Amino acid sequence: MKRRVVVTGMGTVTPHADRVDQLFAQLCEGTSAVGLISQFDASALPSQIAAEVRYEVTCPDEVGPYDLSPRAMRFATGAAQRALASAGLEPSDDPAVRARREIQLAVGVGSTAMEALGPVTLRAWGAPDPTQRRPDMPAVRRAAGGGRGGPRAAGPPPPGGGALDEWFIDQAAPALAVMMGAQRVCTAASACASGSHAILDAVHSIRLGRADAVLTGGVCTPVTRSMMPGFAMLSALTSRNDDPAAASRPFDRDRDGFIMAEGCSLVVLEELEAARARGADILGEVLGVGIATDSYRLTDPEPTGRGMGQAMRRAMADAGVGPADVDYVNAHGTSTKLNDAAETRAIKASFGDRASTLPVSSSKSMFGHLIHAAGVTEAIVCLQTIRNGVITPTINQENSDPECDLDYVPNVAREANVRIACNNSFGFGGQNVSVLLGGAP
Amino acid sequence: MSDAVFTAFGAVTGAGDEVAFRESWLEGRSSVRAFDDKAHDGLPPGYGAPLAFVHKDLRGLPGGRGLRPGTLTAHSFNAVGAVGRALANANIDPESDDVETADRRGVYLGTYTNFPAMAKHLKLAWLMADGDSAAAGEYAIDDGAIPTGMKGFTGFDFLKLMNNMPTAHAAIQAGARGPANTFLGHASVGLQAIGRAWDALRLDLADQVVCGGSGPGTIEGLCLVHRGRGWLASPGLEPGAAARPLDADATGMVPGDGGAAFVLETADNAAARGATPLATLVGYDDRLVVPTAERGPLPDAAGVVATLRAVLEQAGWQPADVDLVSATGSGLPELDEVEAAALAEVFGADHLAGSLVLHTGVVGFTEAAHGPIGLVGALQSMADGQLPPTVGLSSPRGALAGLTPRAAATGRDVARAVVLSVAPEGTVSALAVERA
Repeated sequence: MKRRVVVTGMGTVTPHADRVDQLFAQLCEGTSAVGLISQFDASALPSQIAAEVRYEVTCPDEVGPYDLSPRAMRFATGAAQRALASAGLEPSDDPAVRARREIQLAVGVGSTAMEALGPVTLRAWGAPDPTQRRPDMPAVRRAAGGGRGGPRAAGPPPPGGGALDEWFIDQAAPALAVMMGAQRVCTAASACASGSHAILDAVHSIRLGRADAVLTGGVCTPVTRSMMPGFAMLSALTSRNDDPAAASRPFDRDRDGFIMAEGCSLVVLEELEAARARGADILGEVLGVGIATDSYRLTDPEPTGRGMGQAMRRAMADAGVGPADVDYVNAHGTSTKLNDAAETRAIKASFGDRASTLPVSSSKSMFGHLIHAAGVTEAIVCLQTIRNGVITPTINQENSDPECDLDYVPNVAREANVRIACNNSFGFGGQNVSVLLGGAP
Repeated sequence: MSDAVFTAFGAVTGAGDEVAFRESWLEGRSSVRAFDDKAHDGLPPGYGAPLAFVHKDLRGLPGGRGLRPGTLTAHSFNAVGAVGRALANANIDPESDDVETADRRGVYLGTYTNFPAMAKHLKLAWLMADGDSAAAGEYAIDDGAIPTGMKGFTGFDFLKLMNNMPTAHAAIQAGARGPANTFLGHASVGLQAIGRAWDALRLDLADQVVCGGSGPGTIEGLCLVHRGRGWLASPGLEPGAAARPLDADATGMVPGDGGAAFVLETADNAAARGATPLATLVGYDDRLVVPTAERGPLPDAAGVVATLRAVLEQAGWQPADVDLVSATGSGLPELDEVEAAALAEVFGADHLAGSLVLHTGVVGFTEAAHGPIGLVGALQSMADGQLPPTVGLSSPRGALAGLTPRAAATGRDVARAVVLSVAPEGTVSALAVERA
């Protein structure tokens, strides 16, 4: 018999708020967190809007030996602080307890490494010259501290090399392990499916008996000077700059791409009996998880929604439920032409007759695409939906798309008795994960 | 479920594919050479073991047709090279698979961190500079210059930044529609990917998982990052003798490129498709040892010792039962000191004299491929009955000081092996395999 996995803690740092109840309240009101980019002047870019964390994030002053100054580290440790407090879990020095705790974290793209590298390029190449097609790379390597005749690799890092560490977001999981008192860490990524994938991996660790408690989720800080134009080049982002709040419009006929968003969400998952034994407040249950890969193309979802549908069906099979048992789907719903149509087809294929009456909504209409943090943030929305009896809407539903003809809970939240919610997350590279969530047992 | 068995493996390294790698190792030949080509000119430490495997080598390998050079980062290229070799050795042709087979095949790869198009990103940073500030010797960003700086990029340069791309490529290559995951963070994630692939079989998510690791240690970004961290070996050394795993005279890491992949499947699945098991996976463990500073060193050997003992316990072995111990031997003095102490405490220096193997001296430190390449070597020793020489080890470090290096390959019946991967940041992975 499978070990049952329950949710005992939630913590977020999202564009709307850093408290779960405040986030959910704003989603119920249909409030968009999208605005003009504030971190830099994006007026020269094709997509100038994003869902940013525009408030001061509270996080620990110090966590072990880890540098908390990168934005992603502040988000991750801030969200962890709230999730662990919500779960009532204290870090433990007891090796037996530590051995049963784990971190499962998805980390995403985005850094300020290039900005930090700038001084090195000036030293190597002088003033910027747009006519220069091929700058002298060996020169910048020498300026960064490289070169065969350079000094011994010891002492303080040379400016360029040290700055490059900004590229890495590899220390968030170890920092969270210190905060939780966890022996194991696993950092993984499956693009936009990452957050839900982290939940899936955490569930598996608990079911295998390796862990009793896992702090899991994702963090992503992609609103940067390079990622914004870069993703615009992929035709992935909306360019509806003149109306930020209306720009993310999943399933609407006039959708033209997603809104880049930043943040971190984490949940504490525990084995049911272990949670009960310590008197934890159980917030919900992970009933089933499903995963499938398109094996199709890097950028496009398989057009029939085959892999997406498989993920949903596998999650239902894993939970031992059928389409009639699911009361709500929190869609991946990115607001791109291809995803939303393919996901609609996948929901129809997976839920059959139930699909036409099944409420499906996209939180991304309000907080954009949190990429690696999306799946777990939306899982938190599902849990709050179950707990509060309110389905959050898909805002900006104005013109129906013949290819998207389900009940997307348009524009206004809806009261409903949701017993089981299905959370979908699908990623570049064709990675698909669905998570079925239920109320506290 | 039935046992998890390895039925095939493939590798790409500075010495070539898994066959060339084995030949080099048994002959005691290092692939480390001076950085004298355009791609590596000026990179620290001035030498390394760049990949001896090029795009045309993918041709003819299963699933290789659709892999276009422009879409592959070095991380992805090393991954698909190794996966292609493994699929070929496993006699798997994804194009002839039925749907059920594809649905039950997964891909789990450890790839450290993706780091593509460094030259373009540097140029972007340069062209974003505000001209007036630059004239005054200061770097400030002119956001209005971003579009100019972006002109050299394509959308794919940003898609390639997604850390799951090596696995995404490999899933398409292998026709895998089951679970797929990419493990990141530190250099020990190659073995972690294999351990999690084992989970996927035990959880009945798949019948077969293509798993392993990829690490392009000689790419510009990683050489500069590791130079910045003070991890690289001293410049000016004789390249062929620079990589010195667990050696008292080691001065740091010698970067190497590599990838290694395995077909791990249930014994039932192997039997059903007529595949011959090479070895059974009988133990896996990983943990974090919180370092004393962010990028190391580790405080002591306790965490590494605990990981090794956990693996032995899962396998039901005593230390003396182990015929081959594949260690990390990064060349980082502080890390090697800890690893040597842990190995000595668990296995004893006397036992290690007849069981320790180290491949860093042959192909350099290959990041997330390092552990998987160690496993390739272990499976090769099980097959050919040879313990290769301890290339680069002449004065064993610390607790291993009394150990006599193995100057040449020696015969040994290897039935049980432990592979260890220790990252400088304190993540540790180990696994145990038994000859099938």
